[in-house]
Amino acid sequence: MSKIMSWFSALLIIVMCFGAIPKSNAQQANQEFDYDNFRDLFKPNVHKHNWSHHLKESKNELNFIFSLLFVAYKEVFSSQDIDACIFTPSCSVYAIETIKKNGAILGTFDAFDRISRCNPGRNKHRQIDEKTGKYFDPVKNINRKPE
Amino acid sequence: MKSMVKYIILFSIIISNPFVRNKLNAQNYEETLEFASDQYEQHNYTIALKTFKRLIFFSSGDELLPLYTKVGEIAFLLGDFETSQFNYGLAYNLAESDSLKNELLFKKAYSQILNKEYQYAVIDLLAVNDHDKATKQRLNFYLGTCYFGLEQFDRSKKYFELCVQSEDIASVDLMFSDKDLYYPSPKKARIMSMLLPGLGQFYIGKYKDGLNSFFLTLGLMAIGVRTAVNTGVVFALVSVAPWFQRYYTGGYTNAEKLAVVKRQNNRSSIYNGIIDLVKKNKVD
Repeated sequence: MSKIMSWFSALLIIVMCFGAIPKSNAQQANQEFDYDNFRDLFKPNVHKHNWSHHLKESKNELNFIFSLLFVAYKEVFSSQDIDACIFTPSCSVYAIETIKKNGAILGTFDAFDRISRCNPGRNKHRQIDEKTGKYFDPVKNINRKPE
Repeated sequence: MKSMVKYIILFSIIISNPFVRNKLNAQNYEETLEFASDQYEQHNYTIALKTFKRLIFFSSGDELLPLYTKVGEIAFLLGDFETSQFNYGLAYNLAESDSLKNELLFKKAYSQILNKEYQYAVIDLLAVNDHDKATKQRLNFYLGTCYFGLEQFDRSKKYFELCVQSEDIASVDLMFSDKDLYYPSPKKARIMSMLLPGLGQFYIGKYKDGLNSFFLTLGLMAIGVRTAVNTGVVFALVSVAPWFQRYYTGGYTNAEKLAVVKRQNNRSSIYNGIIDLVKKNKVD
């Protein structure tokens, strides 16, 4: 019995000694290091627009029809087009936003006005959006007073 | 003139008043450090960064190391990777222990990796002193990541294999199959869509986009032919050809972009799989 006890005590001393060895800074740092920080590091940063919210946000039937036309254009035509619009937001987004904000008649005028301006000739004075490198021209900038 | 003298005297009295003078005193070093740390704790990183930089200006010797590290950390959190790397570099030059030097190098390399400066990260990682197993594994993982980012997959695989135990090497090998790493080919998708609109999208597996592109281009071609027959070739060229060109070009450009995204997604899945394997084999 005493032999077992002495072996047990010896084992206990060894375990305690090893346990008492402090971990080095390097060990601590490596333990704290989390490989999950690298997760999705190579995931492409692609943002896909979901235009259907315009349909849900429609206030009346006319608004809904315009929104439907817009979503159809975006899904069928615009998705296959080259990135040709020189503005941000693009002419189609601008059109639907102004129609929703200012009504069908004024909005349609605004949309045609924007499309007529969608060429590099007349926009040198405009602010350039840093993210897209395009001319920044949101609906809130609409100025109906003659310049 | 008299009123001017009056104001100067009044100003001098106010300034010389011990109570006011005490209030007018600038923050001392400790107060500024406390303020900067508070701002950091409250996630006001821009103010914290500015204050820590100010502290660096008035510091010397041993005080500089933690300050450079902190500035590196805050700049990293603000997404200013250049400033972060620069300050980690300065801190590395002041650090004395190997473990701290390694940690600073890893932090700098991580910042470089996020900034897609893989080559610079590899150069910095060469200075890591890998005297223990955990550091070795971490270093190999970082190097593997850098070469993965540089698209040097053979080298990357070699380093990732060093991160795992022998029984998992086959799994790493399997993950790095050419089919997944190089599929789909953006060039192939582009050429296919040039030959037949929509074909490139079909090759990638985007059937809806493929059909959309095919029918759109076909429809414009039909309108063009019809216009040419009815009103003449010149009119068709002026009215329909620009639209056809737009959607035809858009079709193959989009096919190429979609292929790039899909290939990147494939590579991202492979990389995430590698992370899982390395985590499983993590050395403490």
